[in-house]
Amino acid sequence: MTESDLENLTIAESSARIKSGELSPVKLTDLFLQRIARLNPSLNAYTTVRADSAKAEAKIAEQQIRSGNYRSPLHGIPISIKDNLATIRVPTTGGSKILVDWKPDFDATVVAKLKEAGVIILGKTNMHEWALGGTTINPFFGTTRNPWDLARVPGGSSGGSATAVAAAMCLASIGTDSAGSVRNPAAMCGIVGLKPTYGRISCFGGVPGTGAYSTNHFGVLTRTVKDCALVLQEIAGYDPKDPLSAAEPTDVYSAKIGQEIGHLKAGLIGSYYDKLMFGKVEQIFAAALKQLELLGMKTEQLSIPHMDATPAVHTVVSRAEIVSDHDHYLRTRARDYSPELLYRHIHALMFPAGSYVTAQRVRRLIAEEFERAFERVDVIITPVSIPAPKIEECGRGVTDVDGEKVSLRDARGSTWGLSTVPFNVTGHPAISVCCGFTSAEQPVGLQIVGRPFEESTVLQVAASYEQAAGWYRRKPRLGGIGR
Amino acid sequence: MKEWLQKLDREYGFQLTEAEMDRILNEVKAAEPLFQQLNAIDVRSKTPFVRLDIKGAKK
Repeated sequence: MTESDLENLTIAESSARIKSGELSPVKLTDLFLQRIARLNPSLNAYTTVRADSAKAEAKIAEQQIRSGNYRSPLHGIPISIKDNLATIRVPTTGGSKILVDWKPDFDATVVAKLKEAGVIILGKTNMHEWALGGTTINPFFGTTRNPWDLARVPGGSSGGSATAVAAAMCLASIGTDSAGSVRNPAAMCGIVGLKPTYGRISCFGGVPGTGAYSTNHFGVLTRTVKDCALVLQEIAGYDPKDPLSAAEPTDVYSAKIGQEIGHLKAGLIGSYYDKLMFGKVEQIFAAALKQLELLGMKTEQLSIPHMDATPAVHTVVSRAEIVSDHDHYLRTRARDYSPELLYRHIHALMFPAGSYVTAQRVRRLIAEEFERAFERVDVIITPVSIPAPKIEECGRGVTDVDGEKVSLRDARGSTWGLSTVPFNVTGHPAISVCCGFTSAEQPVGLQIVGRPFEESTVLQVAASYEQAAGWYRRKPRLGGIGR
Repeated sequence: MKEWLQKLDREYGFQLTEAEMDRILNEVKAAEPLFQQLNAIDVRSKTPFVRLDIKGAKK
């Protein structure tokens, strides 16, 4: 195996070969570290690379597997972790200047579970400052580049994770998603990004202030849906350290992958999403729906009467909750935030308290409307609307999608967040899977949303679509970088 | 609004410039429709949704 072979490698394939002894975790880790050394100076996906520690972990994994102590399908698999998840004795910055020197003395629960499963942690990935934005243009740690076009952002806030997976600088990454921060970068980088049901994965050990209590989720970024299921299996479940984690039993997440989806019905919310499709995205989304229909799925238009209020609910709830976490630093180190983020926090300090409660009451109204909608359908299908903008376009606030000028933000937040935030508000599981490319060769994501705790169905539909459409086979061309 | 912002500035010690205050106040103004949208919705029978209290996934 050579470094370029990593581009087509998946966890599912690797783990079988690792288990049989055909593939050495030490060799695999070395190849990933070589690739990171070659690509990271250009892509800036990682803020910390744990080369020596990763090699040591790989040696231990190899010895354990050889001695018959095979722990899980993730044993010996090299992965990365977003830099707002606590990792013991490893820098955990939250993408901020304020935490630049912080090395936690504990692991986030998800990190501890992954270590127990036997993963090799290659390093920590770059992110938007405090996870509060969707570009991964980070004033302190630099801009992460999109592997499909280095002049473009990878999305965010888990942009380093998405780039690392798409560029084959790891086999999976763990991100966080408070407004679409797993699904949007996954869409923009042409990979798979899953935000499970609210509470399905423990958020213990997430850097406070990098996601709102009501809307934050930890999620998984991988190159295939099957891989996503394998990672979710190891990290899902109740955690007494996280009072918001769910006691609902876990499932066998890969059990339905490969099963037919012809008996399932998909809901569409055209009244909301039709306004969010720009350039060729509408055409690409229509083709994806056609593919699902060819697989036997029926579709139905749904009515969610207060859907248009989801961005307002999200903005008011999340900003009010997040600013509470930042109160200490706002009083002591206000000028260590980027100016934009400081102004946003100060604005949040001025939100009327009653509006927060009203927003949470509207949130219940919307959740009930979705509950009724899910009595009629098994999943909801939407686009993840905006392909990756160019870095310079983010400064101007306007992007070009196939010749159409699109504003990147308004008072509700980023335009791309509008397609994902509804399911941060409701907590439903949602996945993004690649469904095509724009005329500028930029990936577009298809969002598949399921009933609470029905990740297995979401993964089943996503895997069926992925295999039928075949977009996952297309890879960014990175051969000329760093040679 | 400006007095409120000045009070916050003093309390937190931000030392905001006039230009920074103007920018924040512009953001406050731009966000007014969000609050108006929420306040226009009838939520009289609704309790706040503060955690995902799922009754069980419906089949």
